[in-house]
Amino acid sequence: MLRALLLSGVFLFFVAGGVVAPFVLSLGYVWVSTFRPQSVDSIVLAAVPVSVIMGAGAVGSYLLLDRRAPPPITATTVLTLLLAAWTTLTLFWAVVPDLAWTKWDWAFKTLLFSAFMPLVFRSRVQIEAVLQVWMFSLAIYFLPFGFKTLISGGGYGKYLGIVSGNSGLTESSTLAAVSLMAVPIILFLRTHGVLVARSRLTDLLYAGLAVAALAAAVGSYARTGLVGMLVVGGGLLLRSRHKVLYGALGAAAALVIVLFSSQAWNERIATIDDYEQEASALGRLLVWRWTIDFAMQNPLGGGFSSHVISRFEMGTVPGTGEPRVIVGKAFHNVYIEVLGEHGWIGLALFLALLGTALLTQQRLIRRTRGRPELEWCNEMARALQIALLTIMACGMFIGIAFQPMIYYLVAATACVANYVRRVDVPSPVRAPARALGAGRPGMDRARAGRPGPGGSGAGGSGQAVPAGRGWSRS
Amino acid sequence: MIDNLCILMSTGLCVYVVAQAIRLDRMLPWFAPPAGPGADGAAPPGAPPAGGRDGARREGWRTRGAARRGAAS
Repeated sequence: MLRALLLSGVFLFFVAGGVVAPFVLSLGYVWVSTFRPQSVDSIVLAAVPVSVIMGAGAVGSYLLLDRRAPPPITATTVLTLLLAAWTTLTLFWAVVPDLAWTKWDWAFKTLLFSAFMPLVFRSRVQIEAVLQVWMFSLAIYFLPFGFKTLISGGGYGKYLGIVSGNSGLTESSTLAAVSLMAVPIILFLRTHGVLVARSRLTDLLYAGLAVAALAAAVGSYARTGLVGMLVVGGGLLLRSRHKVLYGALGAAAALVIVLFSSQAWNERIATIDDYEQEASALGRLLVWRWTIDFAMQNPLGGGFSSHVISRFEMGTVPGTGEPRVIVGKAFHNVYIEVLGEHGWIGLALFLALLGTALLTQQRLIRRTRGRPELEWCNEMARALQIALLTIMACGMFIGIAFQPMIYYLVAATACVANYVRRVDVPSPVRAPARALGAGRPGMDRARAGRPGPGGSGAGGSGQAVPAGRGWSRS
Repeated sequence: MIDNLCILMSTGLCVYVVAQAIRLDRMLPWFAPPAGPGADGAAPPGAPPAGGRDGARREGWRTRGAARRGAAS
């Protein structure tokens, strides 16, 4: 009951915060979609359409109160919207229409919201807030799992988190991937965050979160976790300016894992080599082959959840010697998942989206190098790039193509790219305020030093923004 | 016990950063101008040089104070 009261209070806090500052409702949507309070509290919030309320509030408040300083439309936004449109179109030829509609319902919302995020999160504070809220919400999955792993040692298939089950972030491989994805972002927030005043205590907090995330990845016994650890470790080593420090930390962490992990963990990880004998790994290879054949015959894909019609033979039934037929095996690979569900066009859009995000991050790193005032953008782009590469590598073994992680990373990249673009475009930024949005009610109010209709952001305060800067349109 | 502590920690931190975000987003300029010798506003508001936080807040309070004084006059 206390849990229900606490989570209801937090939900109401986001709603009330949205009245003061509209972007808080979008933060609330990130919290709801990641934390999933309706799964943790089965009494009050389970009966309330929390996602709908927060999503409608986020979009509505933006349209009515917060359409100031809109960013330019970027390639990532266009590609996300095209992917959303194409995945909707594939519903018309879905091989399992009922299941396709069910998955479309949440996947479409994820895509739309990620395309919407760059419109809402514009300032440094807002961009950082979305990352902080996202990480602290993810912590509800890896924090208890990590702590319990450190105490008990974890185990394959053990439900050590708060929410039990084998779907979403409670699935061991997905949990491992997401925990590792969070590590570079947590390390970035520790050193470059402005929302949490830095002290020894907060250093300890972020370090603890990173250790818990790593422990959760190890404790899940997922082989995906090992792949993720290699990518995160390599990425931090290559991308970091403190190569010696991260190298030493990585070596120490690897040593601790090898020395203190149980025999069961070592045996589980060693099955990576025996993929032809190990049923789970072999099943994945066979379903990938089935999907490629399916996509050759159905180039436009089979719609969401088309894996349920997969059918292939794997080994023999013990005793009888008859071939063992596997039906409806999940894709276990994001690229294969998109190919099977949305065909070659869907896969091309998905890869173009990921490629554009990686290129944008690379461009950001180059563009902000050696510029102290944009150092945080440089470090954020590095952290987002390692996180995206980690989730892309782990995505080779799990079907999370339409879960929010990938799209939130892409959207955060677009947010920071828009920020840097505004800073770098001199003419509109420095133009006299009169030339910018003259006649627009919100801007006139801001220039007069009065709060805008939403009362938030630069417009809400008005006073902190030099005329012609905070309101610029690039 | 661990579960409840984690829920408290996760939600508490979310609430704290949101409250901070509401406060600081009103206080700080949204977009820092480019810095450089001779550039207008060479010391960018809201963008501490080496990731420190104090600079950002000082700048925010300074600009807010200046704006208040301007409004008062």
